[in-house]
Amino acid sequence: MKNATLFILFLFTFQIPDFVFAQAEKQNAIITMAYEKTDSTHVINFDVTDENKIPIKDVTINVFVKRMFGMMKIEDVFTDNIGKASLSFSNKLPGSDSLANIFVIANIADNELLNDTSSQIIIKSTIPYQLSQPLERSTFANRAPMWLILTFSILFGGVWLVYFRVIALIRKIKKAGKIMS
Amino acid sequence: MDIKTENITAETINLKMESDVLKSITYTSAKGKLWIVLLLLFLIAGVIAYSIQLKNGLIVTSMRNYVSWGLYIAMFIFFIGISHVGALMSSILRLTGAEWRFPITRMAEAITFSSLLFAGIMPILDMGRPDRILNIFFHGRIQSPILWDVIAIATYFVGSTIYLYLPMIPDIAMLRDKLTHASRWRKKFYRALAVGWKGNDVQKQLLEKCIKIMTAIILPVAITVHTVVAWLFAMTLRTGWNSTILGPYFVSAAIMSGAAAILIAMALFRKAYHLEQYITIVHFKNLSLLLFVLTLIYAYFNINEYGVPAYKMEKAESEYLNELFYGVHAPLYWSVQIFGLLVPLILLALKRIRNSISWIVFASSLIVVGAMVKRYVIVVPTMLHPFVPIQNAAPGYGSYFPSVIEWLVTIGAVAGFMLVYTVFSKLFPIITLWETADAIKNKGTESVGVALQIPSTISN
Repeated sequence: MKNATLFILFLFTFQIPDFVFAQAEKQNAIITMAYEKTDSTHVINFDVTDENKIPIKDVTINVFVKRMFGMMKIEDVFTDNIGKASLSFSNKLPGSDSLANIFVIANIADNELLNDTSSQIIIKSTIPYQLSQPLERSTFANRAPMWLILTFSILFGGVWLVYFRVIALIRKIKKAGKIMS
Repeated sequence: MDIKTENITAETINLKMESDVLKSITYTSAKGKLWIVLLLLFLIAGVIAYSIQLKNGLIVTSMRNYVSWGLYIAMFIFFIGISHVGALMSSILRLTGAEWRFPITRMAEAITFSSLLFAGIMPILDMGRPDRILNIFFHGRIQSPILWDVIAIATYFVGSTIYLYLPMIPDIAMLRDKLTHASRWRKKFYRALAVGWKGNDVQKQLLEKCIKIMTAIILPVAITVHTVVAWLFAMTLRTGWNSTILGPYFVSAAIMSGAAAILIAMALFRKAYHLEQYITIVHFKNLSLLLFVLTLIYAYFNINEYGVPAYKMEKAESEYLNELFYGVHAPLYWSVQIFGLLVPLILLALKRIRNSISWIVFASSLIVVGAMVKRYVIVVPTMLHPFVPIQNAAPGYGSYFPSVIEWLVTIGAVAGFMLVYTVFSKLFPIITLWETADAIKNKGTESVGVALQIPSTISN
């Protein structure tokens, strides 16, 4: 009985040693991006190293392009044995803004050995972003559109001209009374 | 008895009509005086209430963040609506050659004048700073429907005043010549307005030309006015108002309520001024049949205006429509649809009802009251249902019921409208004498719908 009690006490007091759950500490990575232009494509070369400039192999890099309301994914690339990767995409991709800039963002996310990190490079597209030009709301504009001014003036101006004509005729009625008398 | 066939002279007809109609100008009964005093009292109460509103601001009204257009704007649309009766009676009936219109045209045109006067005042009453009304003229933006509205109403008011005045010239000249015992200011007043009318051929031709021009121009102007009033709402992206048919819907409602209003006025003047020989059952029958058709057209627009969005129940509209059909506004909405539209429609469809002046007046009263309440139903529920709720609105701001001040000011405005109308009828013949006499002479009493009984003292 005594042994059983000791065994139960042992179970309550037993702690799993920390080293069982301990993980290897994640290290920081640096993504270096270099742009290379060809006739029909944009080529971006990636170089992933640690803080000591030692290349890191087999790392997944997610590549995005900044768009109006978020990031558009281009592709995932993987570093080779010397920590390098390359991506090419069409140069028909319109720019992210009216200056035809393309913001290319590369990141490492949810990696088991590396902390999340990202890097950005700005390249030039041949096609600028086409800003939609909505019709200006006349209500808020400084000046009414010409067609509105003309239509309104002709309609109501015409009516008032008729009124003045009738008033002139009333004056004639008065004159006609004087002549006859 | 058709006077044309009996070959009674035009002079006899004129004498008979003048003696009958001039009584209403030269004599005011005790009841008439009491009526004027009552209207004056209501008007004074309205003026006092408005002065309180001016002093303390719009806080004395129930209008808050949500409902900034309340009873005043509803009444503004109502007054604009009934003002259409002048265009209907004078222009449409003149163009269609309806001879029976003559005894009632001036009544209709006087309603237009009086109601437009108060329609113009109602939006000013709705303003916390009425002095800023001048900003519309100094800094007006032609792209704003508010400016269209102000210009259209001013144009219609001037036009309908000219149109009212033109056929009055020969009658005013008659008053100038006949009312020899009138006060000095009255004589001066008539002399100025008679513009030296002698009734010669040149003057008659000129007058006829003026009336023809105004007949052609006043109808499109009248339709424009109520369409523009509808655009004041329809140009705003709000549930209930965001409709393409709001313009014709408003125009149809306006002509209907105007026709109903003239029927009531006809009955009142007939009784008060003893005009039974001039405003007969013929006029009531014809006009009530016209009112029936106008009510049908309005019912058709109503089905379109509410039925089509209700079938779709688009998300933003559904809350508003459910509130109208089943919610807090349902009693008002269904009362208007049943008592202001369906019941009068059934009544006016029956020939027996159209043969009774009392029943016609009853049906017309339902339509007029219904039209008044309907304007409230158009304005207020929409204001309470913005697309995005107003931030930090105090509790209670999400509902609206007019305050005592608003009721008093509105009653004052209605009394003012009636007072102007009554005063008009005490200054001028409420029946166009020369036109009616001419029509009797040329077409006979039956065509004009009058039942003249000429006493021997006149015919001899």
